[in-house]
Amino acid sequence: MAKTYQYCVAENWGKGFIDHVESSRITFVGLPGNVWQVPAYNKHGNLWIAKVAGSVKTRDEAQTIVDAEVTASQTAWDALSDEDKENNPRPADITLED
Amino acid sequence: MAEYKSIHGTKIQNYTSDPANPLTGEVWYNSTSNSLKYDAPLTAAWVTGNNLNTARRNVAGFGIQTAALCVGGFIPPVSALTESYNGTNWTEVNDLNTARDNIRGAGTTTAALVFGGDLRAPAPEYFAGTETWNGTNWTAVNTLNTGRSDGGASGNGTNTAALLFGGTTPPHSALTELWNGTNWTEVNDLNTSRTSLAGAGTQTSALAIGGQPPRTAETELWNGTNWTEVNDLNAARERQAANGSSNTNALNYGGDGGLALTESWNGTNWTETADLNTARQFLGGAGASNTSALAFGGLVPAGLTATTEEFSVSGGIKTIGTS
Repeated sequence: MAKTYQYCVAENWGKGFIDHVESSRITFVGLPGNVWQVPAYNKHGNLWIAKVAGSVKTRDEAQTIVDAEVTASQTAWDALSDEDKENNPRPADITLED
Repeated sequence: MAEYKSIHGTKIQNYTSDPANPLTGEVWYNSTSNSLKYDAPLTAAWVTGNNLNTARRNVAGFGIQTAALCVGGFIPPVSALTESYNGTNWTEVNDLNTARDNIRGAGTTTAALVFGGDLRAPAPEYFAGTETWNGTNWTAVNTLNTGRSDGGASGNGTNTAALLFGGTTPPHSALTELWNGTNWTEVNDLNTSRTSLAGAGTQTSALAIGGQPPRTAETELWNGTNWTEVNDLNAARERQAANGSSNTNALNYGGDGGLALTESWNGTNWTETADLNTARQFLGGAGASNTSALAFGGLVPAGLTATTEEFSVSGGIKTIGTS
C-alpha cells in the first residue's frame, strides 16, 4: 500500500523553518524528538525536507525516536508528586501512520 | 489552452483604481499604477517563529503578533520570567515580583496588567495579586476580590481596563471581575462556571471559550454588562489559547481536546482553519484579530516546548507585474 506520510528529523530553528507558502500547501505535524511528518510523494514535502536538511526516516525509525522521547517523558511524569500529576496529563503514546 | 475570457466571461478589464470587491481569481489592469493585478484566494497558515528563551507552560500571553509579552508560568518551579517578542525574537526583560503559574493578563508590551495565578507553595495557593507593567518594570497594585488561577481574560484589554472570568478558586468559578485602572469590581457571572478556559477581547466586548469540567465547547459573549451563551466551538477544548479584538473577532487554538486545532470566530460561528504545526496545550497566545496571532510555549507529548508559531491569512490583491 502506498504511504500517506513521510518522516524526517530536523531541528526547528524558528523563523523561516516553516513559511506561509509551505504551511498553506501541505500539513506539517511536529512530533517529539524533532521528528516531522509531511505528506509522502509530494513535491512540496520533498522540497521542504531538502530546505531544512531533514534526515529522512522510515516510519519505524521515526516511531523509535518518538517512542524514546515519550517514554522518557512518561518516566519523568511517573516520578512527579500527586499534586503535580493532577495538574499534568500523563504523556500519551503516539502511533505514527504509514 | 483556456483563455481568461473563456473562464471569466470578459477580457481583462482596465480600471483607474483597484475594484472595491473583486472576485477571487479576477485579473485586472490598474491604469494608474500601470500594473497587472489579481485577487488571490485567502490562505490561512501557522508558520514557525523564533523560540522563547525559556520553555514553559501556563503563561500569561497578550499583545499582538509583532509585539507580545509572555509572563510567568510553570517550568517547574513557578516562574516570574517575562519575555517580550518584537516580531522576530523573544528578549528577557524584568521579572514579575511574584512568580506564579496559570496567570492571566492583558495589554501591550509597554502597558500591561497580570492577575491571579497559583503560587504552588508547594500546594495550590490561589493568588489574588495584580501587577502592572510600564514597559520596564512590574509594580504590585490592588488585588482581585477572589484569588484564582486558570481563568479567562480579555487579552486585548489594557492596564487600565481588563476583565477576568471563571478560573479555579477552588472549585471552578463563574465569577467575573472588572479592572478600572485602580480596583477590581465584581460584575455579572458567567452562565456556566468553568476553569482552564480561554478568553479574548476587551473589557467591554469579550468572549469566554471552552474550559472544563467537564471539557466544554461552550462560548459566552460579554457585552460590557452580561454574559450570553452563543454558538459552541466545533471541538470542546480546555487549556487552549485565544486572542481577538472583540466579541466579534477571535481565534482559538491548541488545548486538550484538539491539540493542533484552530478555530476562527466571526461574531456568530466558529470555523475550523489551519492547524498548529506543533500540537500543544497549556500554551500562551497573543494577537489582534482572527487573522493574526502568535502561539508560544506550552506542553507537548515529550514535555515543555519553547517553540513559537505565527498565524496569518494571506491573499487578496496581488500585483503580477508593472509596465
